Amino acid sequence: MNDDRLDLSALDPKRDPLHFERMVRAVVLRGRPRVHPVFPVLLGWGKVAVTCAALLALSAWIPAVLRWRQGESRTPDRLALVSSWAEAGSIPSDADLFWTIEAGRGR
Amino acid sequence: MDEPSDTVLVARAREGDDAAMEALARRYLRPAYAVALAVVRDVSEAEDVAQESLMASLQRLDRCRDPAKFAPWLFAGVRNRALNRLGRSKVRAAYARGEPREELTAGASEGVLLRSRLLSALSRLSSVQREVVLLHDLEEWTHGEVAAALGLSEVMSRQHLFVARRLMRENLGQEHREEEPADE
Repeated sequence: MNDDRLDLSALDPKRDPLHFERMVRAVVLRGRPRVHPVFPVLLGWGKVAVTCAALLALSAWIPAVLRWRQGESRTPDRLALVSSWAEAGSIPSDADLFWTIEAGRGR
Repeated sequence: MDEPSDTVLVARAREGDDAAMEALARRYLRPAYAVALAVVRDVSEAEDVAQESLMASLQRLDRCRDPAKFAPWLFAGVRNRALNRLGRSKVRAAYARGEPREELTAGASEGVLLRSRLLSALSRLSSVQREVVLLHDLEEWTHGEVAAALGLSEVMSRQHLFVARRLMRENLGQEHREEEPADE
C-alpha cells in the first residue's frame, strides 16, 4: 500500500536510539507541570497575618497601660484628698467629688 | 494495539502521572520534530524545537481545552516556536531563498550528504506538503491521523502527499543528476 513511500530515514531522529531516548528523558524530566507556588504564597501571607495579630494584641494593652499609669499617678492624690476631707470633717465641693469619682472610674 | 487514547493520557498526565507523560512524549516527540523540521529545515534545530514545544505543552496541559485534540494543539505550538526561532536566526534569508540549512563540509559522511539532499528537496515543497510527507512517510501516520492533526480533509492529505512525493522525487533526481560529472 505504501510502495511509493519516500525513504526519509536519514532525517529520522530514531536512527540514533540513544540520542532519541535522551530527548524523551529530557522532555519527561523538564515537562512536569509546574506546581503553582501556593504554599510559599500562603506562608508569606501567614507571616503578615501573624505580625498584624501581634501588633493588634500589643496595641490592645496600650490603653490599659496608660490608664494604669494615670491611675497610679492620681491614686495617692485622690486618697490624700479623701483623707483630708475625713480628717477635717469638711464637706467636699461638687467639683472635688466629680473629679474623685471620675478618677476612680478611669482606673 | 490497545494503547490509551490521547484523552486518557492527557487526563492522567494532568494528575501528575509520570508514565502518562512519558507515553505522550514517546508518542509525539517525532511527530513534533517532523512539524518543526517542515519549518526550520535543520535537523538539530528541529530536535530542539520539538523538545522545547513538547516540554512547554506538557507543563501547560491544563490549557489544552480538548484533550482529544492534543496533537493539533501541540503542533500549533511547535509551528509558532519554529517560526520564532527561524525569525531570530541568521538563516531567515536562506529560508526565504529555499535553501537547506545544514552546511556541508568537505568530507561529509554519506548520511550527512543524503540528509542535506533530502532537506534541499523538502525545502522546495510548500509548508503543508512538507508536514504531510514527513508525518506520513517518516512518522508513518495514516491519512486519517495526518488530516486530524493538521486540520485537513483526508482527501487533501492524499493530494498533498501525492504532489509532495512527485516533487521530492523530481528534486532528488535533479540534484542527483547535477552532482554527476559532465563527462560521465
